Amino acid sequence: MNMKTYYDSFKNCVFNEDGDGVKVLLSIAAPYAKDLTLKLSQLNPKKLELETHRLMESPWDELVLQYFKVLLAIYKNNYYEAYREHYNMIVLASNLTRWILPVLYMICWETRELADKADDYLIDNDEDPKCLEEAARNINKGFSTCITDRSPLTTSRKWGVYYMAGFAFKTYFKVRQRNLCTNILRSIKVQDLPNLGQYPKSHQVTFLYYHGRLLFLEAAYQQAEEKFVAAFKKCPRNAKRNKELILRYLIPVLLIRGVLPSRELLARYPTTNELYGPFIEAIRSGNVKKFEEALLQKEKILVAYETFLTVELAREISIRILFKKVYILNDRESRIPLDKFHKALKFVGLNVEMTEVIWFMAEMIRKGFIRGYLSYQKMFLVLSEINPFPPVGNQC
Amino acid sequence: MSSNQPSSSSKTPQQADNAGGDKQQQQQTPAQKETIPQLGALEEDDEFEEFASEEVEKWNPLTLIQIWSLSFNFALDTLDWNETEEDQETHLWEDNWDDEDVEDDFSKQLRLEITKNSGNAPTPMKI
Repeated sequence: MNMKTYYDSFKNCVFNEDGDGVKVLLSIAAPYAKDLTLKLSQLNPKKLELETHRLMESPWDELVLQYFKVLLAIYKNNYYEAYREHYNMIVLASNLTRWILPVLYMICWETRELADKADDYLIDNDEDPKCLEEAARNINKGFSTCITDRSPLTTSRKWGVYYMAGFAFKTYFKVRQRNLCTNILRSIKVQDLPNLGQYPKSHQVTFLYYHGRLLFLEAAYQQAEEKFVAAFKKCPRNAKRNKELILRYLIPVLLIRGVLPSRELLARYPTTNELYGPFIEAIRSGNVKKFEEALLQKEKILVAYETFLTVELAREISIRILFKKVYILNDRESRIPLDKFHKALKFVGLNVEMTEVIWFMAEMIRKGFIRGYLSYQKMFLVLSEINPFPPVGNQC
Repeated sequence: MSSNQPSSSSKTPQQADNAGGDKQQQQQTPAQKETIPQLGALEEDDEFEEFASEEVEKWNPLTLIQIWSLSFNFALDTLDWNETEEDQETHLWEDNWDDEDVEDDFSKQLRLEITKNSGNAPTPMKI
């Protein structure tokens, strides 16, 4: 492509407020980029600058020149310089109306890619890799310019808020600065925005997923569940990888309140089935021993996914089924010696004292998993005549 | 939530030097997890994927851009956002799954265990 075509296409897209067109023309990943770079490398930089200023209006001239500098840096294989030149593009692209949003999203994405490569370069040169963190702050600035836009709603950058929030979350997670996500949530809370449901579903799903992750980290499981359920529903089925990621966190929060994924659902998501299948089977059958084995076997991966502690809480549901089996095997008598539960726990490998058996039992009664009371004097569990083991899923 | 977060960036020069070496030590997160085993490769792939854009249909077919974009991933929308919501068609979650089946091997063994006489079992309560 020659330079004239480039400028003409650019002006044409700007005239038509064609964000997707401009997006392609400012992307380092565009198929023509290599060709264009070769041409740029043969031009005199001073002339190029004058020519661009002459042909393009502000702020496009600055944006285009910045883009050229990025391309040339990549051409020299210097990703650190490329990132430094790219750094400004978010700010330059931030102060326009709604139609520019696709461009802003693309620039954020590419800034992050370049920052990642720039960090690799810094590491190779024994320097501190700070680019990605800096890029995260810059993306956050992009978010701020969207959320504070006061132009009329139809043309407002407020329509970019949830995409930008999702992308900033993603980046903060990557640089392990998840605490900074709270600032974003706070500004979303206080700003007057259209309902989340009015935004593109892709924005909604990503935002809901990360919001769920943050609530999950705070152990606000009930709220996290709401976010994950909504994200799972809205995420298209052929985005399989994302579906599995949502399930990775949704399943533990459901397990701890006794809700199990159906076999149908697990069959549809094999990775999830491999991860949580053994726990689910162990819960279903009350086989606490199998549950413990699965915990041991999957510990590393669950810790890495940050779901270990939550899955561990689901052991209680498994113990409840074990206790229920004791009740059934004991001919459904309403008075059961605690010794039998003690034996059952020993049988599944939990070598606990009787006091702990009593504690388990008291917890289950308190949570409504078992209806009855403890007779300490006689060391018996006395069960309610009606429905002594109400279904757990309905408890919370 | 902040107590779970390690404060450093995911990449440090040291880590790159001895990649795969003593990562375990360096990546410890203090509160929630005592040990974080080799996260490296795992977390890189674990990011929520970008969705193909939903707003792409409206491009102008007469511009050159479209020709350039044919192989351009931002422009290809392969996701069907209008499909029926997943859990309307199938049964996904079970909140009433308690089965009372005690015929499996596990239950049979359990029966044996709990009926073993431990010697000093209390006598049934009389009411």
